[in-house]
Amino acid sequence: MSERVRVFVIDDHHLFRSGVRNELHGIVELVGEASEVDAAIEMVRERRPDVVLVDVHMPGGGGRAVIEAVLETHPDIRFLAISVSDSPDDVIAIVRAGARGYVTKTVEADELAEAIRRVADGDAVFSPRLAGFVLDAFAGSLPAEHDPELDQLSAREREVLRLIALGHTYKETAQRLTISAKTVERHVSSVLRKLQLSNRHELARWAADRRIV
Amino acid sequence: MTETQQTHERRFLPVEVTLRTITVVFRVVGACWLIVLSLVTLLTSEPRTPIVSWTALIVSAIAVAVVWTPVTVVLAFRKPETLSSVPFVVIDVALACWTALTPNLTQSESFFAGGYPISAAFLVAATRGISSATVVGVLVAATSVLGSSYAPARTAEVLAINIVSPLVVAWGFDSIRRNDERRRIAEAALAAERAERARADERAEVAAHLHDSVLQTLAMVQRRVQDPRAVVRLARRQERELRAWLDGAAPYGPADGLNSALQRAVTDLEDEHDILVELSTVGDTPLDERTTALVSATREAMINAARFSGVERIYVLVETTSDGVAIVVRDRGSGFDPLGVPEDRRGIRESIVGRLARLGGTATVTSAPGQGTEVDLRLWPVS
Repeated sequence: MSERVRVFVIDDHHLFRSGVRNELHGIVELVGEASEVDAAIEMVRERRPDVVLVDVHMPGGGGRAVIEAVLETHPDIRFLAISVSDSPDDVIAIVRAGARGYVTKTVEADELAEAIRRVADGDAVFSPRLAGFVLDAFAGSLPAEHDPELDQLSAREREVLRLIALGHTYKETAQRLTISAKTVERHVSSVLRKLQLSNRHELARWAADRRIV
Repeated sequence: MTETQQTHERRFLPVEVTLRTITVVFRVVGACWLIVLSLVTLLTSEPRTPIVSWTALIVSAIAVAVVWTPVTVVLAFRKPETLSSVPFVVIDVALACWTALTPNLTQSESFFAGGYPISAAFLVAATRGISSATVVGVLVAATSVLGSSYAPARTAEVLAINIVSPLVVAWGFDSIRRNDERRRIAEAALAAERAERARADERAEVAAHLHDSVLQTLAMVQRRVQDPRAVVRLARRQERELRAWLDGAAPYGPADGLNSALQRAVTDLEDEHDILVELSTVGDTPLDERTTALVSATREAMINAARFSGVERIYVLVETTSDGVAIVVRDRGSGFDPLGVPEDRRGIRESIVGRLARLGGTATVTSAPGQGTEVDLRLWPVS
């Protein structure tokens, strides 16, 4: 890699921030950290990192508020959501807000570094857990007026998500389906786009339950 | 909260709105009263002053009632704070005094200002209280006495009505306000007490729960520092339990559903073996005899992975659709040669393949040395 990825960390837990700092030291360039929503928005806009590692749960609107505010002015900054939360609605909501991926806080250091690199390259990072949530969100009945382009996954996309949910890496997924890794990435990005743009009522309902729409 | 905010909020209290409405209604009544009397005077009386000024003066009184009354009404409902401002009061009282003086200036025998002047005193009684009401009452009384000087003598009456009634009204309004204030303070105190009690209960409940769960686990963690795997297991179990408690509900759907049963199986497995299971579920279905057997087969597949794969993490994907249930249990571990399994290893053949066949489903085991293992379970709906 020619240049190290510039990363900004937003989390209201000091312990977590120092943990990430230790784990990523020397692998990425940490350009700053913040512990609250408003300060985070300001600092991210000012320092323009490549990737922002953002906690889903924070007082003052959570990671979602940061993502929405920053993307409004700096659509090129990329976000990777990280959380202890396993609840599908939180995860789906943050990805719908614009995060390009989601990992849990139990993620291994090298997995996290790899996820950050992927997000920096403009790819989507689907952990097995996120893949499962997305499959579930797109399952079931379709809305009365649905847009087939956005409201349902193609057979291939479902197949890719299934393999990811079963712990296959993108490369392994590509081998299993005898397609190229680039094609896998294209499928995953397309799923991400559908997730963000679809009006499927399941997605809307998950978001509405948390009163964040 | 600043004082301005307080006064601001006070203006929108229900009791304030009511009092204001009462006085504004009286202003409208007074204005109508003036208009009727003035028109009657204009049309039926002989002018006692030059005709031009006589007409102009009476029309000016009518104009005050016709123009200023709607202004008052609109302000009272749109910008109530204006009504108590000094400029408004000065203009309002000046106009009221003018209507009270016009009968004198026209040397009219009829006090055609009617109920309009006193409505200014009532308005002030509602918006600024008893002392302002007294001052305005005296002013209105004085001008009314002067205004009715050509009318049959009734000075005492005019003084009494114009000074006493605003006082009574202001006093009445003040006591209504005081009662309302007392009631609101009592209600706020009651609500605060209730909220405080609820908070205390909640704290006690949280404290009890943390004591039974997190503190116990932390104590165990301290005693087992030499065994990192045991510590991880304790932490994982505690995390799961705490999360379930925080969520307040089963995150995997109804307790009598397939997903919940699988989640319970996963929890047991994680507690007994040093393994992490990434369980993804799509859709759900109620537990019945067949799906319960399917859970048992899945458990068997997971136990095999935990025992023989040599990895710390396995993946399970459960998809329930109208076409049935498809479950995949996968590990990236050592794998094995399915053909070389000794006869006495009954786990796969009996508990998994045989069981699924009896249920009317299929089980496929895909594995090779070094390639991990994938167990594919399918259960079709009963037709």
